[in-house]
Amino acid sequence: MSYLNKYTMADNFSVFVVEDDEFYSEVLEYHLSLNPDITVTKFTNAKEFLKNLDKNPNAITLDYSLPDMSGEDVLKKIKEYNSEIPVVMVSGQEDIKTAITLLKDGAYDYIVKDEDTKDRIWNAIKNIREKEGLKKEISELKQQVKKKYDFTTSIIGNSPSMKKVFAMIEKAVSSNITVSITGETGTGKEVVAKSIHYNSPRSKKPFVAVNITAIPSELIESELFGHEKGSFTGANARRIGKFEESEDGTIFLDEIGEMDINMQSKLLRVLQERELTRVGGNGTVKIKCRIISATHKDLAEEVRKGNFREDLYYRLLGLPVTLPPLRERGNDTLVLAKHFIDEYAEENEMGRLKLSSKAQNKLFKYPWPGNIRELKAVVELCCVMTDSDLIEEEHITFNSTGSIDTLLQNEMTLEEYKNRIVKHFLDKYNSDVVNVAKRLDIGKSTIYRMLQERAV
Amino acid sequence: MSEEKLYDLEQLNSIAAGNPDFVTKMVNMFLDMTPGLVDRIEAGLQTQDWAEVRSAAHKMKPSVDMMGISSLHDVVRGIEGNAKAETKLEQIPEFYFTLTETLDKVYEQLRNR
Repeated sequence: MSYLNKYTMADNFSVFVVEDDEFYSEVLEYHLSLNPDITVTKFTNAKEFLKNLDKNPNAITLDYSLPDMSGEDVLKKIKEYNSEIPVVMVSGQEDIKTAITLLKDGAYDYIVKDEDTKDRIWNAIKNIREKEGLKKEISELKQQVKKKYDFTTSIIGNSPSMKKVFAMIEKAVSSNITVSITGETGTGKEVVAKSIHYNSPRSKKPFVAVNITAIPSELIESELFGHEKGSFTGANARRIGKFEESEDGTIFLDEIGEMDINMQSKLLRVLQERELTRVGGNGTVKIKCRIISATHKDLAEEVRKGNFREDLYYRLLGLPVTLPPLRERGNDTLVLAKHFIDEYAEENEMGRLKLSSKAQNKLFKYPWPGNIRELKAVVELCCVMTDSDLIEEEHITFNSTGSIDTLLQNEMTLEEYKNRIVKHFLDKYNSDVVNVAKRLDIGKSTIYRMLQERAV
Repeated sequence: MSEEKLYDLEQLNSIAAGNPDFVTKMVNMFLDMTPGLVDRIEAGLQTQDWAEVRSAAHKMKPSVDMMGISSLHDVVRGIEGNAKAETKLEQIPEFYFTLTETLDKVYEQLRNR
């Protein structure tokens, strides 16, 4: 709660009340000052007020009919001086034409003096304060993010293969070229994409990440390109897609290799034309964002197999960045492990932790099928397991299940491996024996027998 | 015998949020500034200066509303509206009479509240 307040409300909020009706401005001042964070300054005429404009109030409530100047002219003067200051116009009469003119001239709101005015002004000021707070929060967070994704600190490694990656990132940062990132799971594809974005001239614009596998295939088109109201059941309102959301920023299409072939051709057309049509819409929308795609698959191989369109492959290829798996990065494993240990210790306010030489050796020898993501998880776990400031061999546990390399390390018998494999498939396909038998190309009876013997 | 109360401080009380000094301050402010506005309306009426009548009535609106003087709600607006449009000007003296008569009672009631 305190966090929320700290960031969503700007404190020491100064409001100028410009109002020639003393009775009214007195009420307004009192009402607004009930909030201790708000400081109210009253002015009864435009001349006095304009002299004090250089104090840059956070908000202004402005009476439309001042004795010495019209509300419209005062508003213009304020906007000329600093167009950022929100101005709430308060008028004695309801006049739609005036209201529209004032709003067009940049007034934040137009309020008519009646019984509810004080509440409406209160709300307007509250909204302005929230907006101000959010603006501040966003710029602070942007700074933080930028710092976080400064690639000289966020991507760590000294191995020759990483040096090549750094060289490519530098090229990507200084140009607008489409980038394709390949690398096994957990090698940091998204980190690289963000580093490119946050170090490029687009850094102040949005970075929008879309994981193709996370979106059901029937929704992906509307997710990427948006849809118009009523274009399909459940489309209750117009929605802009991820491409439009990215504006002049970067869209990151993760797991692009998983996109179905039908959608691939739609994406290709959009990339070729540099414009899209929302689902159910008629007009076209220009695309201005940079495109970074990533996949753990060998896309060239997918093209050969006919799973990925060749023309889309080349359209997306641009500057290819290949992230090496951790097992090929030599000493980087230890450099990264130490980095994660320090990071964990700092976040949890612990003292400095060290790796024993046996522990280092264990980390070094392991093939890391889950790459950096796995390394981070393993390292964090051993930081928890240790009772002293030294991490020993026995504090390190690997619980990777996926990779053949890891499985082979267990050195089991062929029979045991067979059971493991069948069990894995049965778990994956909800014990659907028929399906598993088909997938493994073995007889159903073999599986039933294994089940009977409780081998799986 | 109790006279009908012509004002209602409920709105001011709600704004005051429990601070009686604020209500007193606003009541005194009303008592200070309203007679001046009434004088401006009267002067305007005498010289047929309808802009002056309109402006003074206009300025009276927020305080009359805020003090909860409901019987004057339409009266003040009548003066302002007619003076602005310069129509039915003959109604204005009548409104003015109601205004001063009611205000005198309100002043009295507020001073003895």
